[in-house]
Amino acid sequence: MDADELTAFRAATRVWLEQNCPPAMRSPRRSEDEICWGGRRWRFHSDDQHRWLTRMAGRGWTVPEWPSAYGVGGLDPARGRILGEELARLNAREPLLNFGTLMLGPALLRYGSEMQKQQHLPPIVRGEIRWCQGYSEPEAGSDLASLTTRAEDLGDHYVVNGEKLWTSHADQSDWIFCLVRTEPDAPKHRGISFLLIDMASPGITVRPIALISGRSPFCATRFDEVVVPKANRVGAPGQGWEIAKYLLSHERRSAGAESNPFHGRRLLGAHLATERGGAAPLNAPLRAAIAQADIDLLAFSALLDATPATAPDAYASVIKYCGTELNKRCRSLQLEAAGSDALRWHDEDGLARHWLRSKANSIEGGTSEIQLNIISKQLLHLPAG
Amino acid sequence: MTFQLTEDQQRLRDTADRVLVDRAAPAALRALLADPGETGFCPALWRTLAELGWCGVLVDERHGGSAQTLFDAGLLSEALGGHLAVVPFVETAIAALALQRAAAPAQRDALLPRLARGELVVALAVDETSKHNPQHCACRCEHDTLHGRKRFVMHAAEADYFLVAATATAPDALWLLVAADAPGVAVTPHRNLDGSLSAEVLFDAVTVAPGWVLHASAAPEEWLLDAGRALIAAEQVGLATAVLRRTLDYLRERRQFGRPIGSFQALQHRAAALYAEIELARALTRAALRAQDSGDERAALLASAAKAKASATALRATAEAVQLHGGIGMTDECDIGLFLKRAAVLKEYLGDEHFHTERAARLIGY
Repeated sequence: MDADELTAFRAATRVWLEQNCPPAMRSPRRSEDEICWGGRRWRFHSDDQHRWLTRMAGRGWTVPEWPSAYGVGGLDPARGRILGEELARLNAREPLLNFGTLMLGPALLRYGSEMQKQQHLPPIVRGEIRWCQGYSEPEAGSDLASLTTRAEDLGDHYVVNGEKLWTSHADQSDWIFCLVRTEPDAPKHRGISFLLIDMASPGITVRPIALISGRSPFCATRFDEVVVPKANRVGAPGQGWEIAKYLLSHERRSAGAESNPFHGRRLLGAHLATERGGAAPLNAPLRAAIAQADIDLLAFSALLDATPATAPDAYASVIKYCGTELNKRCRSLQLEAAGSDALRWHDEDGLARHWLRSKANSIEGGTSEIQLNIISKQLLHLPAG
Repeated sequence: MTFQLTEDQQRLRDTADRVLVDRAAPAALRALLADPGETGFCPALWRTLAELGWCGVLVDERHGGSAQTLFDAGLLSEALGGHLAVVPFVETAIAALALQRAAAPAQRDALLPRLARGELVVALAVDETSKHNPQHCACRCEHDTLHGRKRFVMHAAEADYFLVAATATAPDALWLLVAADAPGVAVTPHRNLDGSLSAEVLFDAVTVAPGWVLHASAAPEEWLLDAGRALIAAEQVGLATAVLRRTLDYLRERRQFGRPIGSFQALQHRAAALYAEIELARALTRAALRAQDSGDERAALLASAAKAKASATALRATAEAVQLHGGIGMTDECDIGLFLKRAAVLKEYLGDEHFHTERAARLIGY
């Protein structure tokens, strides 16, 4: 493609963004609370948030690199990169973010039928439908493949029974994509299928789960004789594990980088100096521990910068393991540096809550121990037991 | 920005590995340990590396070098670390930088070509106490006379010149190039546990010719040391990588309880955690080398962070390696112990983990 065409695209994009990105949307969001999740139940935080989604959705730029057949921009990688750069230039936040754009969409694009793509992708793209993910169960955590949520084949539909755990935002979502067991007699990985279920279906109950840090988006989702049309199965029966693996490596890559708000140019020690204000100076051991964390933050940033997109999937485990363990350390040090003031419970955005919540980082998205298993087997080629 | 190696860089790295393997470098280190005399490095190995252009990596082309980057020098340093090769590479690199950036044209013309050909050994004389502390500098140059005592001067016994950190009066801090055979210079070498030879060097009323002052400033500057720190960090990363690789081989082969010991999860997790830490150290070290090359405002911070991280990582890797090898890891016959010994020396060279953690905190601002 022509360099001139790309230059023209950049110029046109810049103009359009200048005119259409509300100033309030031109700053990075400070937390998950500011995300525009979308969906039937979504209440916009502001008119600007609504406007930004409508305009970007209208342009097909909520998920610009998806094929244009589904109501999106269908941008090639070069144009996609340009759009990304122009958005970054304005510090513009994503107009839309949820498991539909991040996970289900890519899964459908690769494994879904044309009918499924036509049915589900456009509403995702427009922010009209919000998805959640049904993987883990009370008895199937690290050993996800041992899941027992059963989808019984009754000809033109399945009947689903079971319970999913840790379903983020299930109480706010419109649809769920689930791993279910369709072939109980097949070897455990091969009897799993990928099913799309409307959360409005009769028989689904959702219960929020509070964490030691307080409120959380996690839920337990029960399925009691839930009827699901056959057409909602993505891929072949028994192909669910393959699809899940494809999505899991996506999830791991971002979990490492995003779990750590300190990485990048913001270092812990300097940050703490501001937070602590007039508090007593740090003693030597605490100061040393903070400096060690800062050194590891510099190393982690360098590692993220140095890891190409072409790195083997298993390398995402290195990033997830390092990033989450480091984040727990940073949150601990923040708490320590702030002292007794930080122990207050009722500040929901307080350091105590963050510290407690950080304990989950090394558990969710595949525990640190699972990541070490993956590194051992797939990167270090150590023998199986 | 990615530190994915370019084809040229990969080729540089592969050639370096090949040369050093052919030279059976761990055996050369054993020879040094057994040597009762004052051989500080294997001259044949050094000659080979000089012929390949290693000494001229940071020397400009006009003076017979290849004008490459500190990042490239770091790749060579990584290779040296991985093969336990004890040679004055870092010292040569620092001398090249010092001469290139600070020497008068006549000095540069006289010395750089010889340095590039590997005909000169320039030793770094900085430490005065048992722990590296460049702010403590009692070595004094007054009325063109140098007085003082430096310690842990690596390769002093074979040095033709010393690059000396000294104090003076307005300007207050100097880098001096002192001829090793100048009257008043006395060298007392010690064999370190890794076979390297370092020395105490006494400067007793040594006359300093004007051309010997390479660089003067109001306060001690550490840009030269930072380049050295980044290179040593690279050597430590190479060492850690090699010791892990050998350990993985052992874990796969050694059988106990009816299976390879590498199939036990406890050992797998230790190896994997170590692998992750080495990756972090490598990325940080390469970032530090890049920062030196680009003059990034965070170059000093990254150099300290890299030296701290690489020192801790190399020590951890070598200690783990001995442990994971079980009984034979403790034998002299096994090469694994040599890595531990080398790691101990590299950790003290130009500041250990604690020194650089402190410096990093200061540079960040707390």
